[in-house]
Amino acid sequence: MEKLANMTKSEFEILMELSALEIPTDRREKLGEDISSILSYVNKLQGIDFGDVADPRDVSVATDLRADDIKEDNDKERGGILKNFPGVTSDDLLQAEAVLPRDL
Amino acid sequence: MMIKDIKKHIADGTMSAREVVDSYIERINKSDASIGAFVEVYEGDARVAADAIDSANKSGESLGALAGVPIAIKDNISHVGKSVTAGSRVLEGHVSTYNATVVDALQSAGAIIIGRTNMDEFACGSTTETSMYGVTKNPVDIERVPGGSSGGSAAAVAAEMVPVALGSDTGGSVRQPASLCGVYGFKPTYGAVSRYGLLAMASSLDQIGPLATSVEDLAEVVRVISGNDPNDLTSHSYDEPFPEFGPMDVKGLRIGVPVQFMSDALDGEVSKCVADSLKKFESNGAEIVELDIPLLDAALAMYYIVMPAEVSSNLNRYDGLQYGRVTPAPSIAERVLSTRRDGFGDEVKRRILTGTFVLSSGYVDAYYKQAVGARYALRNEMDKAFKNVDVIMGPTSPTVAWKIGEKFDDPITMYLSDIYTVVANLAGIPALSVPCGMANGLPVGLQIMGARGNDAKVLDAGYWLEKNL
Repeated sequence: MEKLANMTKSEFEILMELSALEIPTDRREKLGEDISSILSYVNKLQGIDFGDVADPRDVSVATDLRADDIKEDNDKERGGILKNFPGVTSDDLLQAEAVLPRDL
Repeated sequence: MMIKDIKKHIADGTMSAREVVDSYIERINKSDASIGAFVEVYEGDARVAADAIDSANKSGESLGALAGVPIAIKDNISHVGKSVTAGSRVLEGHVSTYNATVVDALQSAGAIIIGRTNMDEFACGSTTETSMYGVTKNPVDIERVPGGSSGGSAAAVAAEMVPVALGSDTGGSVRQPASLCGVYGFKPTYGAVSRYGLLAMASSLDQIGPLATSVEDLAEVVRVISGNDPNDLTSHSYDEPFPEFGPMDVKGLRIGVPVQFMSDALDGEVSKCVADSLKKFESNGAEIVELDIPLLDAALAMYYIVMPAEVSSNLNRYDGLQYGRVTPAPSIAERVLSTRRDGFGDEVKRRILTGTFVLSSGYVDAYYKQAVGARYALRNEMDKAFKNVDVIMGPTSPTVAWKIGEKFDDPITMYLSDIYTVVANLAGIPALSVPCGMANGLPVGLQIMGARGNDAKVLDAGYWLEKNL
């Protein structure tokens, strides 16, 4: 199997897909090497005994949540959001690409 | 000018707020072309805000704690009606629709936001070389990097284009550029300052902090921007965290120095400056306590797993569908891919890919969960250390500022520049960088860390060194 440093070419392609990133072909080898060297560096954590620590998956839940109130409509803020949105119709509807093809 | 001088001038009428702002704008116009600290200067708005302060002053109204003080903010802090891009093409043209809590706090206190400063793209970098706006140069030597990612803020303060600036610190991004540019930089306790309106890089590590030319000015700004914010559930209020500064006695102060911080990795000249500062404390009655915390050797590895994991998750929102840059494509899936391909730079892509890898099925236990467990253990070790010492000191950066481009293509060498600063972010503790001398004609910073919530003790120790070095 073709390798990009320590990562195979197919592993790198899966990683690009999971990351929603398209890396130009001529940049893949360098990035693959960089990631392999980073992983090689952080591998120093493997096998270290950290002793008796709390399970990091035990997340304490915040109890002082702010009130879930509806904010007053703010024309300025609304206008700003519309300006930032990539596609807006003349009557201020947000225009997005169809998720499903029309010929389904 | 220090904040207290600006306030005095405005109060006694020797300078108006407008004259203060004009003097700093003149300085920016004169100096910034060769440094590139600012990506945008709000000349008109700053003058309008200054006139409002002068008018309130003339009417006898009481002025806020930072009335008339110009301040620069990093380009990842939301300021309504102004562009905020985090130095990334993916947010080119994006305008904030709301204020970050820190911006509201500063403006309520009368501070004048004079512009936004350059930074590494999405704070991913230690040199301010990865911004779409180009490289910021170190005012001490313009062939060298200012550090990063808050390099624009550090350079603006070092070149006296502003008295104070805000940065953000995820792994040292306030302290390391402060050290390399010869100014003061403070990362408060995690949660002491609201992150609401800060463009997220790694949420469990990110913290907004100030850069200035004195510890007093850092404290003035932190007093204003700290406190609980309902919009950030990780924020806290600390009781009287930042006292007024007065003569301080360091007799009996217990200073921990981890052996891991004074290793062979440290440049000899930097090590000498740090050792001289420690001797200064010791000769004035402080006690130096050698600490051995073996997990510190693994801190950078923990950081370079936890941070990219959070980066990959946080930066998923930049997809060309809701805001920011769009690269047109025939389908949604292709549009997301092409927008992210064209919008992100190589360092950000490197971190997203690394983060995705360590979170992916088959690797998450070996990498991410192991790193999170190690982080908890490190935090416990630091808590234990602070039961024995008041503060921990060591270098901020292993070297002085290096030449532009020197480490750009070698990520591991670049990442090693964060080796002493990431600890404070992993443990959520306050940390300060104080200029402590020069090595080969370039500034060196001493890092002072304290227990969580002990921000005042850290600032006190830094203030003492500032006055006694």
